[in-house]
Amino acid sequence: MAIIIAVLIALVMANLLIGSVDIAPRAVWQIITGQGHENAVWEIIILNTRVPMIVTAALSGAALSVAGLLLQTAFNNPLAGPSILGVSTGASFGVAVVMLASGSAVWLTQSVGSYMTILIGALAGAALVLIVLLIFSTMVHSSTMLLIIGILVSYLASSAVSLLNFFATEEGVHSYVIWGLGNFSGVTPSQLPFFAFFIIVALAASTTLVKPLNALLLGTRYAENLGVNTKQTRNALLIITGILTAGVTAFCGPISFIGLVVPHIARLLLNTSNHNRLIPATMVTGAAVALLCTLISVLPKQYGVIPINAITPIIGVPIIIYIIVNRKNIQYFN
Amino acid sequence: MAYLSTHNLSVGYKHKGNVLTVLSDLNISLDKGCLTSLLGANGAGKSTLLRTITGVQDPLQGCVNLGDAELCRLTQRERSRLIGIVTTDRIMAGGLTVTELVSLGRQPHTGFWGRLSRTDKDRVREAMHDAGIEHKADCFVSQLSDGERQKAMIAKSLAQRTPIIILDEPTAFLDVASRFETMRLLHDLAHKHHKAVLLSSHDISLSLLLSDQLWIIDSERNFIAGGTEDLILNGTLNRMFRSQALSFSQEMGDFEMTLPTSHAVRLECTSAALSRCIANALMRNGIAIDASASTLIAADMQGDTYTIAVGEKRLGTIEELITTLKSYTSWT
Repeated sequence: MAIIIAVLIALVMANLLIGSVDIAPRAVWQIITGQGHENAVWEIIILNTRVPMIVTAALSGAALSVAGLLLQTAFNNPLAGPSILGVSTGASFGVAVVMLASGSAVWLTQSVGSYMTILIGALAGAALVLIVLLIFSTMVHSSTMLLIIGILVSYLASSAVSLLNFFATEEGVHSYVIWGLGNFSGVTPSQLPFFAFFIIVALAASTTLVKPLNALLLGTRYAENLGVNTKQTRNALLIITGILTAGVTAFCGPISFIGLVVPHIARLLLNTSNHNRLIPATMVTGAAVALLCTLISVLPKQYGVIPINAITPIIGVPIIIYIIVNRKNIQYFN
Repeated sequence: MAYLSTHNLSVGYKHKGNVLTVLSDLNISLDKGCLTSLLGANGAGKSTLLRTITGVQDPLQGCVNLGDAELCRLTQRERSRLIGIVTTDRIMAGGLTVTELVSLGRQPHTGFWGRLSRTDKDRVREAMHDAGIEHKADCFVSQLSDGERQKAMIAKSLAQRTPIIILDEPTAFLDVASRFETMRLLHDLAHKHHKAVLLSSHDISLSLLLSDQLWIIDSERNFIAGGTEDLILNGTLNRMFRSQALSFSQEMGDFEMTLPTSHAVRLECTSAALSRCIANALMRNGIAIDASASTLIAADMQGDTYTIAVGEKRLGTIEELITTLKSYTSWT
């Protein structure tokens, strides 16, 4: 755990120092400690671009990772994740409706109000998918089947997005595609407190589920025998997952793989399935992984920024394949 | 003292107006300090009954009482302090240590965050000790053998400190030694810890040895409850499986196989063990033992050595006896 925190701090510093503009480490230190610096442009870059991006990336990484962990335990399936269950796609669909229906206007104005509209769209989309999952969960009791329903719903939402794209204006499609590439730098300093509050509340809520989550490791029958109201727990899980995923998706686009991979990294690093330690570890690891992706994305410096969703699979896929190949030797699979 | 009793209980399934009754009018009880085995063929309704009395499934009629309270009126948490279960469900707890797994059994007694008090930790240690899994306390569940895993799950239900423990086929998938150990442990839970223990099993021999009470569901879905030895003597076990190949031997207290025989011999033997071995070898080869048969086999055993005589021939092994008998052309 100490190592993960150290890595996280190192990544925060690296992200402060490295970007499309070269800023001297001494100047960075002066600016973030509030001493000010004669170069006003540098000050704006650090305080209005890099710091919000770091906070956004860290919170988004933590949020998506915890969402993934909750879903993996709730569905008793190590391959569950917010993007796989259709929650991300549902949020994307909501965003698409808002963005494409109103052309590009909402995206370009970048006011708090317009972001609120996008956030509400994302929440509504995620909620729609979650309600569908909840309805099916009363009919289908197998978690694996419910996971498959999630995947199918996700296809439906994708096809709805494609249809919307077909009828939308060119600018609308363009801004939607850009949004879809994933980006941690879209949250402005004025939106940041709102975004941070939203995510932190949902993350705090997730920690209240530690006890039932541990019981659910034994499956629903054992969990119920240990006094867990599994229906209520599953609903709470889905709602928290929905808020975490929709919040991140609205502001940063549908970020893939982090929610699926990070819980595995945390389990492997801590060598435990106990949610007591796993939830905090997943948050810190998620933040670190998101910051690593951000760092890679700005490496081309003045030549531009690599989309986050081009980086996450490069980190995520090898880890997933490693886990699948070595599953016989990994404690929590057996 | 009955920890669990049922009143005119009917179990089964309701699906879109169709009612499938599996068992009906059950008035049965699980008593303090008593090990009960539920026996019956696959599909007889063992699981349905277990699901109903643990509250996973609603009864079609009647009710289940836990002490003075009706099961259906209790909350999940209240139930969790009265009945502990061990199932054959696949669990995802490989990444927990045995101590962490057994600690989950304390959940009905801990607060919102599930933090363990000193008493809770003592109870967990005690449970691991009583289940004989203490030496694996710090091992991961994934490193356990099937038998050890079963003991860990039993320790979990012990940590739960419920008066009733219900186990669904606890000895399935276990090797012979683990089956004996597990059954011995369950017997101790009933007799030393004064719990009411119910298990479903296909392991009839072991259940007959260690159960105080049997619940039997026969091939026609009749439910019979009674003391183990009484059910052996009154022929209930004989009627349990209506099969040509199997019959219950009251003398041996176990099922024995019957194969068709085409010939018969007379056997005179000085040793019971030798007699049983010869009889089994003959039965396997289609030869029955009949006091009125003309061919005589005389066998004698002194210490570890035995001799068998057929007519004029003296033989040293049962294998030779079978070869000799098969060579009798008059039989074919």
